[in-house]
Amino acid sequence: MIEVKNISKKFNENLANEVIALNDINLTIEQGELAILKGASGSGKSTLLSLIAALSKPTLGEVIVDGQRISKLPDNFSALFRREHIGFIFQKFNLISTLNVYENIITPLLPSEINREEIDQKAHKVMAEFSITHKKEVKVANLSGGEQQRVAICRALINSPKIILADEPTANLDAFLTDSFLDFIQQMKEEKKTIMIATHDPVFFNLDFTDREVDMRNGQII
Amino acid sequence: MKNNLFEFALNSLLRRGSKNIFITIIFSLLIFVLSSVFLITNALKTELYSTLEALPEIIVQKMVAGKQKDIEIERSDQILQISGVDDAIARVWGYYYFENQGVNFSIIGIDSYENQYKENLAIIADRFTDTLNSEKPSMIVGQAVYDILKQNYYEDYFYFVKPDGDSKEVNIGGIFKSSTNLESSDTIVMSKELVREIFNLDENYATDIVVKVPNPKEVSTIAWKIKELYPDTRVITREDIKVSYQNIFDYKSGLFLAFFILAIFTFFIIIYDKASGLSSEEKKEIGILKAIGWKIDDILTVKLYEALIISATSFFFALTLSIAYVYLLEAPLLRDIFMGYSILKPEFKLPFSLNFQVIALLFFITIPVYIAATIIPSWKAATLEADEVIR
Amino acid sequence: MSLTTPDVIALLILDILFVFFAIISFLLSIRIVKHWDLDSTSSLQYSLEKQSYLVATVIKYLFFLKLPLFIYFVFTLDLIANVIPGAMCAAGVVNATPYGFYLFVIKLINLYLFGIWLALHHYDIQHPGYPYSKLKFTFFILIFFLFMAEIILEVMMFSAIDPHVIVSCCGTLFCAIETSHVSSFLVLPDWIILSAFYGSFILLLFFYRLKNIFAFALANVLYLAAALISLIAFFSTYVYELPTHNCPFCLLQSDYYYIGYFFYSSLFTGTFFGIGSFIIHFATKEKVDSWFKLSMGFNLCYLILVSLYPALFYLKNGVWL
Repeated sequence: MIEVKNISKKFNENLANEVIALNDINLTIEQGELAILKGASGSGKSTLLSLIAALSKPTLGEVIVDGQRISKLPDNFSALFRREHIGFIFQKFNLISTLNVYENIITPLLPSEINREEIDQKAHKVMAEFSITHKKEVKVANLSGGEQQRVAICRALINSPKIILADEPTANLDAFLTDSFLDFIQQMKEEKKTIMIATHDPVFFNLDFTDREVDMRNGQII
Repeated sequence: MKNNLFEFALNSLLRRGSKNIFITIIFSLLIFVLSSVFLITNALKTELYSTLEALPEIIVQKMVAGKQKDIEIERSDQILQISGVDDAIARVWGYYYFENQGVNFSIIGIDSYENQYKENLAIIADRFTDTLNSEKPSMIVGQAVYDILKQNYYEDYFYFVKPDGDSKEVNIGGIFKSSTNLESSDTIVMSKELVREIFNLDENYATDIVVKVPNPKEVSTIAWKIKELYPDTRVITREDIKVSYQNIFDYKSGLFLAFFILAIFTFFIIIYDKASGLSSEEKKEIGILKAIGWKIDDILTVKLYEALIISATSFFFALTLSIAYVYLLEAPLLRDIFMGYSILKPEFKLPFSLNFQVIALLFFITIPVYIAATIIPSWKAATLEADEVIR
Repeated sequence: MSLTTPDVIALLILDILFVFFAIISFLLSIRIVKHWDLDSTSSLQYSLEKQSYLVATVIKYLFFLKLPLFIYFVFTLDLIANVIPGAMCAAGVVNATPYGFYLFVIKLINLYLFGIWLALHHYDIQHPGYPYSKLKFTFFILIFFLFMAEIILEVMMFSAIDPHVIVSCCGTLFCAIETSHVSSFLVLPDWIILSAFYGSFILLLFFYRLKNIFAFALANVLYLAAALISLIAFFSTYVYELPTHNCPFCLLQSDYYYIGYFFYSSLFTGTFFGIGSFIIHFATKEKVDSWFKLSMGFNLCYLILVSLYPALFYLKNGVWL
């Protein structure tokens, strides 16, 4: 369960170019729910996601995930939290373009204590699930958009996270790939994962398997 | 675990190949020069020390107006009287400048029936007794000397030019090899009488007197006594020579090192700054890694591994190259800078003198310094804000 | 600088590097100690957290470099002995100046302190609350001063070495030891010295079993003292097979297969873990069982190594020296 309590986030605090990205946000997402964060760019939804992923720290307030206060975790603990609980899918995939498919997928697990064989097993399992095994030695820069999407998903899933966060996942995709992404989300929902998607793509609005839709504007929930 | 990160570091270096190869080459070059300098000086030191070991404990020279002059032979009898002195031998020798080749030969006079002050000479005296005592003026030359003379078409005999302008024909009666390269490369041995003739030395005088003192603890006392006995002499002990050579070497190499390090460091700062200020792609990569769960410590570890790999590779590569350069190729160019410690001498081969000390010194001067240069940039990279980078 | 051996210059250049990094860490540590508040969400706190990583990285670098550097330092002293009249091993060089002995001692102490800092840091980052952070950085501020003292002493020692002044060799030095404090111990009969040594080891074992951390640390201090004295007074003579040769530095030379390095590394490592276990436990209440084991292990190793020499000598020759 994800609890967001009185969260505010300011950039360049007390400086001339201070920006208030989030202003006193309160939100609770139950386990297994699919929540859609709707809003135009600049509404603060990406910032909110990165706070939930413990990728940045709030200016005020706290974020509690499954009873653990993650907003004030020091770096090595927040990294561990991300590694173990969160699967993040970024807007532009954010794959390391000079690495191949296999290497990209296993990157999250490299610093962990898990041995090489186990990592390899996990990688092959998830690659098989998304039918990308045949391209595992190919450099990511040479893949099509759809293939890159599948690699990004594999990487997010390799550590079997309970929470999936996606930031504008369909911004660079065509209709066909958008559809396959929706299928993927539905599959995740069936696997009872908690999912939050920040998007202004209307294809996500009013889906029948969505549990919540949260509207955001100018750093606030409306 | 850590192996995975190491592999990642290796991979990461290879991915940004050109930049890293550039750094490695520059670093290797610097280490190469440093290493070669140290290897050469070490080799010269070793060579010199082994020459020194064969020297007698004390050398007595007569000084007039601050310059060395021939010493009265009878003084050696007086010196022999000092308790603790085993032997006092008058030496007759000098340098002969061979103009054609532009080198100096050391000419040493020995008489085969006398005690020799050096074992090598005793062996030569023994082996070549007949040559030394033959009717025809003859000499025995070192292998390298023979090669030089042969190059100049002197195969069986040689003409020395005496101080009065006359020439003296001397037969080449034999060739000897010596235990140290320095010696055989410039030494000629002949009878004392012949040496005196060639240099026009008075028969009551010698070039200097060497004193054998078996007990090392007594050397300085005896040296002092000799000085008391003959105040117009300079009394040099073997220890003095050893220390002064070591100091000269250390001073020269120390100075060199100090300036070199300054140069290295400045080089580093500039190069490192240019070459590894993070490109936006690298920043993005670090942001991604942090976003998917890498700790700051993990990123620091990778950066450390990268630095270690580059510096260790450069180190071993440069060291190996340097060893080949100094010992296989005889260090063309560099050795001439260091050979200026005495009068021009003919070529000799640098002895192999690699030891732990030199390698340890090179290690501490290079690898930790490089890694130190990477600490702050690595830290800056590792503490980038992930979310700002990946938008 | 009357000594311009390249090895000395290398040490001094590294010292400059050390000073640079130590000062940065010092200034950051002061800031951190003044303003650290893990619960705070201010940008100051976030930048302090980042800077604490820099300090930790610098200290790791310094420590892991100081270890081999210390060995290199001893090695260099041995080399310089060739140039200083009268000195035949590092002992002569150490005593050529009034700074040598203190430099040596402070280097050892600093190694211990850095090691303890790293242990503290290790425990600190295992808890989400970073409970020992302020303690850790305050501790570093203390270490900084000792570290600067070490570097100053080192520069002063190397500048003061005069290759024209004759120094005493260990033969004369260790009849009446480096500083006369220890000489009074050397006059004691062998059986007292040996009982002190083996006795302190038994104390170690005893407190190890009892798991009494404070007593164990104290026993380690005793053991360290007894070990060093017995090494100089008794055991070294069996390494050299000469009843009058007591020098603790000649052990490090190649003639004796560098056995000195093994002696000292096991002794200092063992007592480091023993004494450190108390300090860590006192400061953090963490469990230090592994420290106990390591300490016992290394101390035992030292005991065996050092006892082998007289034992083998007796077996070979049937008599004691």
